[in-house]
Amino acid sequence: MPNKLFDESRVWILDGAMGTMLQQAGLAPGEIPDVWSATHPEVVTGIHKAYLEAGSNYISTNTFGANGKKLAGCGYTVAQVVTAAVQCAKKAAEGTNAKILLDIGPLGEMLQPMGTLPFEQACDLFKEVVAAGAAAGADAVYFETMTDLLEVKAGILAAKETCDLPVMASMTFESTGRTFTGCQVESFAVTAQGLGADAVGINCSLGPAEIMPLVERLCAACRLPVFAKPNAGLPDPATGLYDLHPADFRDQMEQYKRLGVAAVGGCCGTSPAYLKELAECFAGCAPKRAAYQPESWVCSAMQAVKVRPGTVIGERINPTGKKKMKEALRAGDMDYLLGQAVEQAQAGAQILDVNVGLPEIDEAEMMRRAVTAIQGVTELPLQLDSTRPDVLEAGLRVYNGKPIVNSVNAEPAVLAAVLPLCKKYGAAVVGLTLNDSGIPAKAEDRVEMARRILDAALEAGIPKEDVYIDCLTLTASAQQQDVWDTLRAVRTVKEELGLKTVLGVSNVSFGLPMRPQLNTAFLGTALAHGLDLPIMNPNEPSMMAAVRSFRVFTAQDEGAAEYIAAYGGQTAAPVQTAAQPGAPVDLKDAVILGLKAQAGEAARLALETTDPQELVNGVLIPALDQVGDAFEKGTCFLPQLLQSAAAAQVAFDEVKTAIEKQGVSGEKKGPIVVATVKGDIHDIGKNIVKVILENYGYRVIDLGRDVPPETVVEAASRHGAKLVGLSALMTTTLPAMQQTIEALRAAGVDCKIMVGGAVLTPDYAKMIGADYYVKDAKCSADVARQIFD
Amino acid sequence: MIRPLPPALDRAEALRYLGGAGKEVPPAVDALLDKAAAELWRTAAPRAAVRRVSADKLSPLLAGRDIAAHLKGCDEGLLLAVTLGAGVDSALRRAMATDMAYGVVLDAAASTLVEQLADALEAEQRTLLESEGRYLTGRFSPGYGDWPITVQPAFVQWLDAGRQAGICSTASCVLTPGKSITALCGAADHPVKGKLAGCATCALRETCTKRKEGKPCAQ
Repeated sequence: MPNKLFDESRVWILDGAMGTMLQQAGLAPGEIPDVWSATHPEVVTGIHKAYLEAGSNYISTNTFGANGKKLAGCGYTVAQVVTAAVQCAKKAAEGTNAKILLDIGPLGEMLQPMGTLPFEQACDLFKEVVAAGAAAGADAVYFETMTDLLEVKAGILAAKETCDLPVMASMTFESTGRTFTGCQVESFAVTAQGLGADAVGINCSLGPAEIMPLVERLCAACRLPVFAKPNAGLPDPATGLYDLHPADFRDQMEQYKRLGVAAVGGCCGTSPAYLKELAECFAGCAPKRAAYQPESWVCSAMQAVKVRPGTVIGERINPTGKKKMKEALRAGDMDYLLGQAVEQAQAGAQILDVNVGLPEIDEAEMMRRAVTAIQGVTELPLQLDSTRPDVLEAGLRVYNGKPIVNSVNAEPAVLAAVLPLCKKYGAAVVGLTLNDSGIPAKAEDRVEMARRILDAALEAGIPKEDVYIDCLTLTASAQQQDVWDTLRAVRTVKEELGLKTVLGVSNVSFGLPMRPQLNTAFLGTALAHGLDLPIMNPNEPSMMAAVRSFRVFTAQDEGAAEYIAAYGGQTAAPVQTAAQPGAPVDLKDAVILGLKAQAGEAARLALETTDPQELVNGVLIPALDQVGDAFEKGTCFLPQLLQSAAAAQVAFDEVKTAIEKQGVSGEKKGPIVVATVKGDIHDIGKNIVKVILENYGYRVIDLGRDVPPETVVEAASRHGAKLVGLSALMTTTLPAMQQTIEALRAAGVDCKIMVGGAVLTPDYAKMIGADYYVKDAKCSADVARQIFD
Repeated sequence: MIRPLPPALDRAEALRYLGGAGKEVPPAVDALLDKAAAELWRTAAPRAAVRRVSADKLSPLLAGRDIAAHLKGCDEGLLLAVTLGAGVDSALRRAMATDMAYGVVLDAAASTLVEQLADALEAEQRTLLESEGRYLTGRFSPGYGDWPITVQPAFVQWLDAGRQAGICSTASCVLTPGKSITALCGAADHPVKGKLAGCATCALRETCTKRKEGKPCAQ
């Protein structure tokens, strides 16, 4: 299909800097450059003309910062500024064939989870610009100088959902090959391609020589036309002037010919003189790009993973059969999910499956929250796991990178509902070889279903390398005869259809003893049959060992470096380090000293002879009080207080188990709802309060940070919380605290409210209607005691 | 602008954040601090932005008496921003979700480190100015004294800190990445000291540990 933007007849010439030119024309510091299209149209038109005369085929409008955020209070609307800018470009281009690119830079605010800007709000801000630009007659939309891949995604989606214009996307990288937010070149390439961008490029930050290796990587990682708009070299730290003259710039850019770039231009420090050199240099030159080698990529912004045999998908974020995960999902406890994510990443998972399906929760909203929160703590790409299209779309929208969708099956209605989502959001997709009639027993029939899934995916516009097939592991205890057919099907799908394969490995051992043994043996056999992506528990050492061994045998792990890094220095019988030998530690001492393992052991021992409630009131609470007092007096450090709390938590878990054994529910006191208010992302104080309250035996519902008032009201009333704790660190977010309190009161929620935060004072707390001012975490526990005990 | 990391973390300062200035450091806290320093040296990507603006053009950024007093006699302002980068924010979120004791230590260590980076940048700029025969005041940050933190978005924009260092301000004037500092110094052709605001107008006067210890920063 011919590209909508750049045909291959020649290397197209873009333009150069706008900002540099406006500064030369007298733009003052702090002045909004975009407004000049309205106030100084002759200057802006003149700059475009100068680039056209220099040989540019594409000119970018003076709209880099023309969004609702940056233009707020400037006296002009987005539509006015954008329309004026497109008119300036059109006027300059009159009588030429030049195309007009609607230039869109970053919004100037970070999206969640790095900042507080919600994804949909970012989309809306971009849509406003795109709609105005399209209406004014721009020929394409050009996102540039982006550093956050999620913002690029918001932009591309906004453009596609607003108009039919082609879309160009360009990010700015440092010499490290990453953007400021850590995005990798390959992640950008595969994500933008998946989202349907028409061309990708790199601009700003560096000169042509420094950007060249990054452009080379971009070319290798996608099929799209690639463009480059480097700066005029590097700036002098003292003067800020760029070090390349037009002729030097041309010499460095000439090297780009061998990469087969589709278009070239300049960024900061370049001028029409530079573009004239470029136009001459590339005249009569057609791009010769090396053939693209399709690869099965999945990625987060920070990590791009090429799927290889033995790429581990961690299975632990899934409530099926996991009591604690179910509890966490019901309470909206993100920390538990995040703990599971971090643990699996540390154990060696390369992709994490995320399944938050529980009938009694809003699964779509939970998927959206979970994806954002998990991507805030791990760099691993995710596999979004649900059969519901609305849940998948909720996750797909906010996912930063290119995820896997798990799953579709061979049923036409399922394919029709889910494949268009995978196409729109550029996800890889897992197809299960089953349909409404069930799983075929025979390998041949499963392969036939895989073929149908592949055909439907290709029909939907999803490339073959993004289709992964799950031939479905059957349980050896129930369907022993069919287990081997799964492996035969894996081999055929891999060899005959040329598709990547997925299997949920642990299913094989249901109902049999010593499951890890069976799982590990099945995993090794499946890998030998061509399994690419085992979905498994990476925390199971024998299974990770099998994967790492497989990578050694298949020479993926060159020189066994990864294997040696993981196991070097270990002996065959690992020394038990979990239980420290020696005399058992007294429970009170264990809590005071913050010794987690010993506290659990001591609690278990003590519970053999002591009543659980007596242990809590007689030992645990006094121990915590003692540490709390020491902290208040300034004789112990904050981390010691928290270590004691963590040790007490382990003891409390033992107490809870003991109480439940007596046939009584080990229900905690509470609940208490805590949140850091809207607009504030400093949640350390709230997090400390949460830990301390939990350790005094209260159930805490943590709503996280940047929480809107309505969410607090909803949670407090739904859970019947008698106490709500709010934190805010900034003078600018105190009003949000007041609004939250007012909203709670207006909704008639029957609760007390405690507030805390660095800039709060007791007087201010009273003024905004709080019931308690708590200066620290210990204080919050005292308040809780007043209310619940 | 890519910035180097200092030779080592200022452990005494990090311990002060943790509420233990001058106390004997228990081994458990010491070990957490070692772990935090190692993680910061792995995850931090320090960047900075600097811009010199003549004093007569600065007025849109200024408000209140304190910053005016600080800049008295100066003919130029030096805007600075420095950050540890987004990787540290991610490490902090990870720590807070899995081990709060470590989380608070990492937070304290990161706050200390970004302060060290600001000190180093300021010192370097002072040397640079001195080579021109000029003098520089100390740093004064938005939100300190009666200089409202609401100047933060404009301050960041003037510095082009997004493009230069990846630093942005949220709508409620929180800097992202979280471990970032912006500050303004005054410059003149004669020795200038600047004037710190003192506790009277400080938003942190009720909770500040330095003030509690009787060592306020403005003395």
